Amino acid sequence: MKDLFKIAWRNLNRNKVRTVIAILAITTVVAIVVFSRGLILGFSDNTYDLYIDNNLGHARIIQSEYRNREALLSLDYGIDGFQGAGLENMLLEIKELEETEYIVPRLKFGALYGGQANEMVRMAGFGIDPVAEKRHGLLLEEINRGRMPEEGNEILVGVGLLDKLKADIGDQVTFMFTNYYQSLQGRTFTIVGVRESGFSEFDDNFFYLPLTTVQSMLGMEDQATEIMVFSTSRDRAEELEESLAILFQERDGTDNYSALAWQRTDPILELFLEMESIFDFIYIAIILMGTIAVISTLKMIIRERITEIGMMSALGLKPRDILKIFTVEGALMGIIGSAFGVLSGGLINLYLSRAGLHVQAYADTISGMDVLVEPAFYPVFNLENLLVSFILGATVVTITCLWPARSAARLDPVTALHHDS
Amino acid sequence: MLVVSLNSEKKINQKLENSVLVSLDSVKKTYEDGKISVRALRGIDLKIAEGEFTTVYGPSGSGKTTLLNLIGALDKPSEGQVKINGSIINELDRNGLALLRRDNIGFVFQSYNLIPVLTAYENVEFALKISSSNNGNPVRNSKERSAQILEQVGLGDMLDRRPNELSGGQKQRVAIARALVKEPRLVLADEPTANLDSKTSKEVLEIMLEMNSKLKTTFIFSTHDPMVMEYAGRLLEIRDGKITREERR
Ligand SMILES: Nc1ncnc2c1ncn2[C@@H]1O[C@H](COP(=O)(O)OP(=O)(O)OP(=O)(O)O)[C@@H](O)[C@H]1O
Ligand SMILES: [Mg+2]
Repeated sequence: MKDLFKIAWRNLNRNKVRTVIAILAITTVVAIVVFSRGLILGFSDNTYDLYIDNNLGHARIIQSEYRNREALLSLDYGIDGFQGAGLENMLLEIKELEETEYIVPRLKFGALYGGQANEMVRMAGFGIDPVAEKRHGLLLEEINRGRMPEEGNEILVGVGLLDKLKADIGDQVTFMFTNYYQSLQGRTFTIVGVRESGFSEFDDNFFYLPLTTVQSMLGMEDQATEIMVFSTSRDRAEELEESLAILFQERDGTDNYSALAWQRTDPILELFLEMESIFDFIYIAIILMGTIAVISTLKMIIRERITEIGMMSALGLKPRDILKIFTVEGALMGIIGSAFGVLSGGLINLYLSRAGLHVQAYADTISGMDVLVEPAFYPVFNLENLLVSFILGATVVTITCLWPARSAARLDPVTALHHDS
Repeated sequence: MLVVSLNSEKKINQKLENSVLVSLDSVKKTYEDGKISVRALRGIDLKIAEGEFTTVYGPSGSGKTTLLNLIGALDKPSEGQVKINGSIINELDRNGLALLRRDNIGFVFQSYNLIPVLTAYENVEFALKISSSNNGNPVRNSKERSAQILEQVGLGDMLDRRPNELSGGQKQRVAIARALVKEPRLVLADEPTANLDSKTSKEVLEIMLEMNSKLKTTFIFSTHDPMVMEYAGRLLEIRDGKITREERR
């Protein structure tokens, strides 16, 4: 009933200070929720994307055994297609899957560089498919000087590694590596580009060169060590994983290969995801704190308007309608408060999503750890967060208002009418 | 002479039977207030016919409000039966009572009880909308009807005033308009003049009388003011929870 709204709305103006205080309480808690959600979303989103883009894809295919031997940069677990029919064929079949958007195969191997002062530089080389990488975009974006390497002896080098090599673009460097047959080889490359990702793990250790070059120099024709498969969004990773499993079952028949959705590839990510669901409860708890102000306001309001309630009951308003009047009044405070909360929280996030929240202590801790995170917080500004926080705020307030409103609805009309206010 | 009066008495009784709106049958009401129990009504038998203008007169504490609460389906008797427009209120639950009030009864209160955030006009229209909110058919021309009834109680030029911008008498007239707008069978007014000076009291009563004769609405109002008694069409005097005198004029 429209009139119940009108009455509730005007009643809010009756004691402005009180209303404003209740609304401000909601505004504050909802802004806190928007900010913390943005922060955590930003933190986890960044982390997820870092892992996904650099390492995991939406699903990552490896030889099942490779999981335990990856750190050693073993070459014994190459992916050579379904029943050994070759990588290219396998990629074509994966491409056919409905969930597949694009595929990034890589062949990872270890290499050494003997510097002038006899110190050894250990490195990891990546054989990359230039076409696939171009589609993926990450490497290309992070080339800060030079260009992608082409067939032959060209390499792209991390910026930190470049320092260690004491070399620059255009210089030639000779690396040592063991090939598939365990024989030690040497090969001279020309540095044509420098990658700067901002993460020392990548920048200090990795270099990149065309997959075909790596395949032939290692004696691993038509093979890769890992395949990152991307779908349209990371939310589809599990569907993708499932289709891949079915494909492997049909085409290979062994559990030689494993395809894992990104969430399941790294324990840190699993921990993150679990934390996110715990935080949902924390958000609700935060909002509940704000609703205390609304509830006590509503209780005061009801006490003051007891005769009014009696009168409405006499006019024939049913208990349910009276419940509605007060719930609507509380809900309005919740809605207005949440709207302002989302607005202010959103503005804070919008600003910090650009400027970043720099906490020195955090940066200090992080720089010593072997994890993929940026040394600053970037809360995410997105509409989903605002919408979710708004709905959360408005709903929690409205639901809790049912409690005081119910006490109004239960008032006996005679007692209410003869209440001395 | 005697025969005639007997005859007319008979006629009245017959008429009463035909169009009884409210009937109370050995009604008692006892308030249990912890250990103390107050016998507010001690056996009331009463029939009120449609179109009557009844005054319940009695000193403070005699049970007027209690009686009107029962007739208004706001409360249930401890003993006996209250029947309003055919419904026995003893048998109704809270929603049933609310519906009965909504469809049949208008209230006027001593302390006006207007909704302070609504204008005179909106207060009246709100009552009208409540009355039609649940029977499915929305009121037609609720605006005209509300304005019209306010005009009838002499407030045609104060439609947009809020209660705090009206005098006591004006507020009570809004309350009367609010009670009448849904065209109820019965209007109950518990000491509607208690907060008004005698001149304003008279005006308010005049309006109630006028509405009674114009709209044929049944009115029951209570008072402890002897001056107001003279407006009664039918007078019920109540003392210590019993009807001690009954008079028709
Ligand atoms: N809710 C209640 N609980 C206990 N006792 C009550 C209650 N309401 C009324 N009474 C008692 O019942 C008796 C009748 O009260 P009631 O209000 O009906 O009288 P009244 O004639 O309306 O008086 P007044 O002229 O002061 O309004 C009084 O003794 C009163 O104290
Ligand atoms: Mg009374």
